[in-house]
Amino acid sequence: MSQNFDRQYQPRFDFGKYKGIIISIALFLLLDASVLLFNFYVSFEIADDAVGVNLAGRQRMLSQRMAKTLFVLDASRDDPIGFKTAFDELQLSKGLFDETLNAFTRGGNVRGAGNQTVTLAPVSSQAGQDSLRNATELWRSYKTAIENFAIDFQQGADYQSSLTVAVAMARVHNLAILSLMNDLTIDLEKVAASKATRLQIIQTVGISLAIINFLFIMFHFVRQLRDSDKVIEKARRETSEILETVNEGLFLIDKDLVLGEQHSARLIDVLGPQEFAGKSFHALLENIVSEKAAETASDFIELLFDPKVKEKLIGDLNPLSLVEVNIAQSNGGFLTKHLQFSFARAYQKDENDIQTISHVLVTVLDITERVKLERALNESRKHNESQLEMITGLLHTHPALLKEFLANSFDCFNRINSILRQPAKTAQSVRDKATSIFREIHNFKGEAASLKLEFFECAAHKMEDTLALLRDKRDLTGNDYLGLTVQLESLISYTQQVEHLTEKLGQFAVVSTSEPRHVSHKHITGSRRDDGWGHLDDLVQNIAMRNGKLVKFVASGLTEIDLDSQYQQKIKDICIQLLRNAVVHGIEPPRDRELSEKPLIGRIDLRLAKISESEMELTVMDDGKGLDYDAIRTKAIATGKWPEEEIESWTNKHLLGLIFQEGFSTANEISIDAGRGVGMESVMSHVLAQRGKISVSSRKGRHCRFVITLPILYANASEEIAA
Amino acid sequence: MSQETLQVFIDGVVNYFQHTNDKDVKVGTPYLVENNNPAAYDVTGIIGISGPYRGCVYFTAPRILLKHLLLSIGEMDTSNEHIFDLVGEVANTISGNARSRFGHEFMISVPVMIEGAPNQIHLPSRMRSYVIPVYWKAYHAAVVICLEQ
Repeated sequence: MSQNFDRQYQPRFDFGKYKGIIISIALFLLLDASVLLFNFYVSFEIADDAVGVNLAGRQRMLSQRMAKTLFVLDASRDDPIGFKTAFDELQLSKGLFDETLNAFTRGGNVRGAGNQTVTLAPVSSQAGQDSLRNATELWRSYKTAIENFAIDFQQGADYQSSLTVAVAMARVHNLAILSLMNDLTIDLEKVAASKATRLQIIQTVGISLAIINFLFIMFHFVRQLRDSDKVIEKARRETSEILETVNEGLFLIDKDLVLGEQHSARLIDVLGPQEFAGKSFHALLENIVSEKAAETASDFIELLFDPKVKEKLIGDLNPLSLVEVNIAQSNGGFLTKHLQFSFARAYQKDENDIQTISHVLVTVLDITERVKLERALNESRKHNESQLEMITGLLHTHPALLKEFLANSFDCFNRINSILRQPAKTAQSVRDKATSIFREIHNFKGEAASLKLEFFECAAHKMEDTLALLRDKRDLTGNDYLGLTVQLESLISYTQQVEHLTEKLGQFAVVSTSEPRHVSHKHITGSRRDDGWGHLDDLVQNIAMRNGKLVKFVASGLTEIDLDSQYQQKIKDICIQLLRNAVVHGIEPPRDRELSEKPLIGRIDLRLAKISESEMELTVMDDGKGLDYDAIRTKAIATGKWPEEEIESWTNKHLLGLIFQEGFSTANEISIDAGRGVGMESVMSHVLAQRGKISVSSRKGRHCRFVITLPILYANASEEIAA
Repeated sequence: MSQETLQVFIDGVVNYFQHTNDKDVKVGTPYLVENNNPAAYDVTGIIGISGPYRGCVYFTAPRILLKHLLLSIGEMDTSNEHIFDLVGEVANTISGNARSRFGHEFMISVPVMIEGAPNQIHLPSRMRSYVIPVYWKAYHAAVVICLEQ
C-alpha cells in the first residue's frame, strides 16, 4: 500500500520513456536541414550554370559579330575611320571569344556581361567538351588569320591579302562555330535543367521523408501517450479500488498534521460522514476523543516525523491504539465505537535519492465487535461464576418451591414499587411508606429464610436496615428513599437472574427425564403440595441452629384442607412469623432448659384444623419460657412512647397487645431472625385482612400458644372464579 | 448503578428549580419502571450519556407545569416553542451539573426534546429506569434515569 502511495506522490522524470520521440524529432530536423543544405548548394550551382549558359550564348553572338566586322572591314577598305572602328570591334570580339572558349575548356576567369570578372569551371559534359574541342579546332586557324590581319594592320603593312584570308576564314568557319556554340549553349542548358530536376526530386523525397517521419512521430507518440495514460488510469483504478474495498480507514497526514486528498471509503463508516481532505488531524479527533488524548496523539505523530526517532521504539507510545469514541447522534444518543489507530511512516526519495519521511499513514480499524465480544466473554465468565454461586445457593431448594418463591418475590417487589410510586407529598405519607415496605420486605425475608435462600434473606435484611434508618430519620423526604430503590433494583435484577437460571435448569430437567411429560408434571405438582409445608421444618431447624437452640417441630393437618394457593401463601407467611417467634423468643437455649429440668429439645407444634366448613384454626404452640411480660414492659418503657407510670399499671393483656404493634420487639439486638418488631404486626395485619381472630395463651416457663381462626378459601373456589 | 450517580441527576433538576421564584420543589420517593412501559408526561427533554455509564436521563413534565414555570420566570409567551426551550434548559442544567460532578469521564449529548415518552433507541426494553417524581406547586414532573454500566 505504501509503495502505491509512494509512486503516486513521487512523479519522477523517466528519460528512457521519451528516447524514441526525441530521436524521431532529431531525425526530422536533420532531414529538413540536409534538404535545405542541398537546396542551397544546388541553387548556387544552378546560378553558376546560368552564368555559363549566358556566356555560351555570348559566344554565339561574338562569332557572328566577328564575321560581321570582318565583312564590314572587307567592305570598308576605302574608309579608314569606319575601318578602324570595325577593326577595334573585331579585336574586342576575338579577345572575348578566345578568352571565353579557353575558360570553358580549361576553366578560368573571364569578363562577364557587365564587364565583371566571372570564374568558369571547365565544361564537364561529354557533348559540351566535344563541341568545345571542335570549336577550338576550327577557331585555331580562324584566330590565326584574324591575328595575322591584325598584325599587318597594326604594323602598317599591306593587310589586303591577310584580310581576304580572314574574311575567307570567316566565310568557311562562321556557321560551323556558330552551330558548335549553339550546341554548347544547349548542352549547358540541359545540364542546368537536369540539376533543377534533381533538386526537385530531392526536395520531393526530403519532404516526403519528413512527412513520413512526422507521421511516425505522431503515431508513435500518441500511442505511447495513450499507453502511459492507460497505465496511469489502471494504477489510479487499482488505487481507488483498493481504497474502496479495504476494510480499514486509511489516510495520510503530512508534516503539518493535515489529512491528504485521498482516503479509503471505509473511513466514512468508521468516523462518520465528513469532509476529510485538508482537515487537520486534531480537528478530526476533536469530537470523538478527549482533548487530552487528541493532544497526545498529535505529539505522537510529530515524533513520527522526527527522523532521529526510531519508529519501532515509540510504537508502544501510540495513545490511540485502543480508543473508545462516542459519536454524537442526531437523536441525542451516542454511538460508541472502539477504534484502533495505527501509524506508519511513509517515505519518499528526494532529488539526491535520500529517503525522507513525507507522510504518516494512518490506519483506523473499527474493532467494536471484537471489544464487545471480549467484554461479553468476560461478562459471561463472571456471569457463569456468579451463576455457579447462585446454583450452590439454590440446590437445596425444591425447584417447584423455588419457582413459587420467585413468583411471590416478584409480587412482593411489585407491591414495594407500587408503594414507592404512590404520590406522597406530606412528611407523614412519606414516612408511612417505610412502614408498609418494611412489612412487605419482612415477609419476603421470612419466606427466603424458610427456604434457606441466604442471599435473598441477607438482601432483605439490608433493606430492613435501610428502612430502619429511614424510620428514625428526622425530616424524611422522598429523596432519602433513593438508596432503598437502588437496593430494590439490584434485588429484582438478582431475582431475575435466578429465575432465568431456574428456567434453564427446568429445561434441563425436562430434557433429562425419561418419563412422559404429563407424569413428571404430576409428580412436581404433587411434591409441591407435600413440600409446600415441609420446608417449614427446614426453616425452624435453620433458625434454631442459628440461635443455638434444639427444636423438634411437629406439624399436622396442613395438607388436609385444599386451600387456594395464594391464600395458602398467606397462611404460610403467618406460620413463618409465628414459628420464627417461637424459636427465637419461646424456646430456651438447651442449657437453660436443662436448668429448669425441661427436655433439652424444645417442641413446637403447628396444627391446622378445620373447625367448620367455612372456618379453620391455626395453632402454633411452643414449650418454651412463655411470654415475658416483664421484658415487654421494660421495652415499652424504653420506647418512651408512654409515661412509665401508665405502663406500670397496664395488665398483661394490655402488654400483650403491644407485641402486635409495629416496631415493637423484645429482642435485645437486631438479627436476621428477630428484632425488627414487624413480624407480629404483619401477622396481625394478615389476620385482620382475612377477618380472622387471634388468641394468645401463655404460662411463664411452660408454654406459649397462638390460636388463629381464619375463614377457609378453597382451591377449587378460586379456580372456578378464575375460569 | 450507585446511589451517588443517581443523586447527581436529581440534584440537577432540583438546582434548576432553585433558580425559579418558587423554590419549593419536592422530590418524591424514587421507583422503578420497566422500559417497555416508560414513564412520561407531555414534554420530555432527553440527554444521552456515554462513558463509564451509558444510557439516557430525561426530564418529563406536563405542559401545564411548564407553562406555569415559564410565567414564574417572567416569560409571558407560553407557545410550544418556548415550552420546548424550557424543557431543554432543564435538561441542560441536569447535564451541566453532571458534567461538573463527573468531569470529562462522561460524554453528555445536547438535549433532544420530544413530545411524550422516549423510544426504544433511548430506552433498551430489557432494562428498567429509575423514576424520581418531582413536585412543584400542585404539579407532578419526573426525572427518569436509565443507565447501564
